[in-house]
Amino acid sequence: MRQQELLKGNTETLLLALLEIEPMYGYQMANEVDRRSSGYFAFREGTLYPALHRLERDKLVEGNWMDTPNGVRRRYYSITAKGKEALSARQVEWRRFTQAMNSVMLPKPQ
Amino acid sequence: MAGEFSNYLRSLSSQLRLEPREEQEILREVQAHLEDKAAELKADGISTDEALDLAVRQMGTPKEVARSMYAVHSPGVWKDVLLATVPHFLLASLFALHLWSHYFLVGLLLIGVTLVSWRNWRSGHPSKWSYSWMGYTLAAPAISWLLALIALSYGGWTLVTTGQLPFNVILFFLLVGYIPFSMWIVFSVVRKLVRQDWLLASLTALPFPFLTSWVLFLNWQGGLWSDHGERMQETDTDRALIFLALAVTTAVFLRVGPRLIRIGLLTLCTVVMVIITAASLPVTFSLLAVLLMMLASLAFLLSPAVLESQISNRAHSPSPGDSNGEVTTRWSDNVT
Repeated sequence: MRQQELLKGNTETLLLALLEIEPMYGYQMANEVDRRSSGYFAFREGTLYPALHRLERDKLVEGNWMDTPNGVRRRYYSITAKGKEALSARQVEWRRFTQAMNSVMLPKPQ
Repeated sequence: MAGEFSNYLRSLSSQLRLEPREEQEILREVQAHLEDKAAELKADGISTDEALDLAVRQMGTPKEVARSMYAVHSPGVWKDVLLATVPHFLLASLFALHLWSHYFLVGLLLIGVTLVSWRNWRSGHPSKWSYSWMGYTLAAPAISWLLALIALSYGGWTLVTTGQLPFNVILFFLLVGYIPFSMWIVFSVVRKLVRQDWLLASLTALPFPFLTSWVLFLNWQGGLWSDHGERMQETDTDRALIFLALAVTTAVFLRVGPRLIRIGLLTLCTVVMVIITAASLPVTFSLLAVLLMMLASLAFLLSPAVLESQISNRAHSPSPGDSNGEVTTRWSDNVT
């Protein structure tokens, strides 16, 4: 439950970070988040697509239907230049946030 | 496709209330996700029934998914907002400049609005800004239907009581033919709107309570063609304010996503419109009369919700995945 709360405001940043690696489709992204966080962030899959569509609406990602070699059509998302800029800004903000949190919550022994 | 997925996608389709093309994209994407998920679960050794059930449960309820998708897709962009408010501003200008009694000008305006709406709707994919234009386009047949009904009732009553028609027999038969024709025009458009989203029908009909009360009032005050202009100029600013309120409501409606906020907006606008209408007409209304006007206007604006629940086609629409994996939606059935 607490993981879900932590994830709530950061779903879109996680998705942008994944798409910076390579274009992916929704199901692949859900699995990738699960794998990279060793199961810590379990996406509620119903929230994944609204988040992706929100990013697409804001022109941070672009979705395109593509045929896979086994004949299945999937919607692949790729990050746009605007999305990369937004991701960089969010990464900077995140670093500052975690540093501030760590210095308060996990102070170094004097 | 498994029945479990069909049921899920059908339920999602009925609750999305988005443009057909957007709905199809969403349903295809969710369908592909569910199939991937079920295949993976089966590969892990889970039985088919369990895999389908788990895939659907992990996606979340259709209601939750539909609500989130609606909030993302239903708001318009600024261009929609700008275009949607144009007819309201034009009407506001007519009253602010005391030009509303120049019926030739009003007629030209209505023809212009009708042409724009017709061109936009002909494609089968109406733009988000077009609903306010369609509202004024429908106002002409809807209000003339009401006036024709009043004239016909008056003619019928006079015929019964005096044995004579108060107007030409040809006009009588023209009215008899016009009433079902105008009703058919209005109903067919409203039905199409309600099949997508009853809230769009309510947005379209938003100016109707004021326009109807206004035309009925003029009709009652000596007929539409009497010289009302000069006598009522003092309160024209109030009426211009009504159209400004409609413009603001339409703009906010198009920019916000959550349905509850949209319903609240339409309700608030209706209440404000009734108050300004009651204050602007040169007649004193009691508090009870104003409250009854509010209730009647609200019941009218929320009536598309009832119509939506009664349109049986939605319940019997084909499953999103029944035809060779192709996702179909209510609207595409309707326009093709």
